[in-house]
Amino acid sequence: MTSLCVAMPKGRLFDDAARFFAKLGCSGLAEFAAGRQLMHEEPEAGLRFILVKPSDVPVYVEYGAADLGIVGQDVLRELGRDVYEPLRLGFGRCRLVVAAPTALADDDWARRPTLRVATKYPRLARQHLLARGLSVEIVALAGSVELAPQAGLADLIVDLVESGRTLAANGLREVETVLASEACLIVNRASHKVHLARIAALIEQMGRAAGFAQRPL
Amino acid sequence: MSRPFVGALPYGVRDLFLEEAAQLTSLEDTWRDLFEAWAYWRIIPPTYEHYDVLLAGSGAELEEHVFRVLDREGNILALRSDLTTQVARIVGTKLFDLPLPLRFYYLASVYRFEEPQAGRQREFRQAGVELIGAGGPEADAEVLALAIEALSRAGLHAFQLNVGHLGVFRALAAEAGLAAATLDAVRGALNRKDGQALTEALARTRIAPGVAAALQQLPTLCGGPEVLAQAARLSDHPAACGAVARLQAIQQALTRRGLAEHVIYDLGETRGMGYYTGIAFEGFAPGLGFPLCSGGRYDELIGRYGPPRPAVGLALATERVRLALGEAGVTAASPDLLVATGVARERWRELERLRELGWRVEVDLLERSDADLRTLAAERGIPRLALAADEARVRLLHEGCEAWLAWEALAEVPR
Repeated sequence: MTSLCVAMPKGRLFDDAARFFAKLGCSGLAEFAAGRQLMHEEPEAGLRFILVKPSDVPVYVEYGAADLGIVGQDVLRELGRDVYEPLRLGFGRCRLVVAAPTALADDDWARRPTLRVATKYPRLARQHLLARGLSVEIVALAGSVELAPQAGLADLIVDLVESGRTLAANGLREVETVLASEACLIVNRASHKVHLARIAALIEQMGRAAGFAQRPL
Repeated sequence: MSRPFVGALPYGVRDLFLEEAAQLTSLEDTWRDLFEAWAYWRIIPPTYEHYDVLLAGSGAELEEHVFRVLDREGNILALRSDLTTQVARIVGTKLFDLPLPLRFYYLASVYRFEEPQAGRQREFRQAGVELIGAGGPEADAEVLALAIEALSRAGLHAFQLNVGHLGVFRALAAEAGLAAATLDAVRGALNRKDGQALTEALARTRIAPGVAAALQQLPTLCGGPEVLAQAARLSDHPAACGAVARLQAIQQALTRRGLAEHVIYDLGETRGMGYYTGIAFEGFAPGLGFPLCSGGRYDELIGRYGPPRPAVGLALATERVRLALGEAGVTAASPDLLVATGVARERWRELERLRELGWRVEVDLLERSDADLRTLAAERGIPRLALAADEARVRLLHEGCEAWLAWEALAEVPR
């Protein structure tokens, strides 16, 4: 029987995801991240792991290059890939928010005729702000988004917050929530049908590990 | 604008030649033979039509991904984005008085303005059937059986058809009286199998607990025939019961045909074309992340063009089937016989006879020397070479041996 392939996200979610799979008996994942290998086998569990950038996880899974993947809902919604998401895993909780420099946040920011918005989430930012009837100019950045208002690049940002400390340190205040996010399991549609029983069993096992009562697929 | 390089192609199209073209042709030949054996007639609708006419059939879906073209008179035309709408138009406006059921098949290119994915460009091939005028489970089963046959004969073994029925979800949604926004949220959650989002969407609205519980069960109803028994207990709504009974009848029909092992049921999805009214299905194979085929029942589509007729259809994504098959054993067929230019000039009658017998006979035409011909035949893997001939005999190079052979004897050689 061929092993099922799981796409694991590098970075923020990896440690929690590895701990999660450790509960299912996959113990070698911590070393996997430390090493230079990008692929790792757990023959006992019938799983094979690949390590990719978080935003690539949904791509690998949609194409079926990986059967399953672990990814934040923020990334998943931003990419809008067609995959199943049967299970939320209870870690990697954060929120995608609109934040403004304190002065602007105090003011009636939403009445500005046009707003320039810096973000790593151009699609979600545009969707959210346009739905509010705002005219926005989206500036897509790859990192350090909090810097953009101070540097005079943008009026607002749309970015992830966990504690809110980074925002405060950069003179920013959250003004609204775009979405609440946590890590979730995603499944390729074809794999789900072709390996129905195995994947259903795995989801049930993961659901228990995530602390839910038997989560249905 | 700068002129493109003379070899440039626009995004979304491709050239198919040699092995790929041969494999595509052989797939389509296989499917044509299959459909004709089931007494389907070929139908060849035009590549483009009036945008409004197609829109009347396929609705909002068309707008999203259609290629629109203006002709010189300012008419808005659309390249077809599926064949079903066209067949519905033809049946509704032209063929409505023929005896039923009507059976049509097509092998055609389809155009959709979307990102190329999994072997499918913006222009891609579809092979499909439409079975019109039969509304019962046997008709659904015939089309599902054809899908299974088509994938098997293409050379796939480990594939799975996933069959659902829109009636179950629609009946429950009607019973719950969901508002449009909630309906969208519920449908989105179902299509992603996101149980938690489903719970949240339902918690935001006020509906009878029984219906909410039934809707929440939908994502779990995925599997073998046992899920149909579970689904039967979901609701008393006559439309929901009817839909489950239909799937049970289809399961029985497929079991009788010995095809049930390829089918699983999924009542939790509401995907498929907007005009589907009954069963909706997709086919999947291991290793390919996207569906290989899809289809469903569309009892209200033909009525948008003429007298209403129940109908059910199937479309195979030819390029994706090709991708799932891989490249094992694929070669462009090479000729059976290469003939020197001079031989062909004098002995065209004998060559005609071989061609009538089904030989692929290629003539050099470039007056190559015998030595050059030998090299060419070896390079191209052509098994036989005719170097000289008279009325009765031909000097043949075959497997390294050169000898005179009677034309009559050559005609009897198995190829």
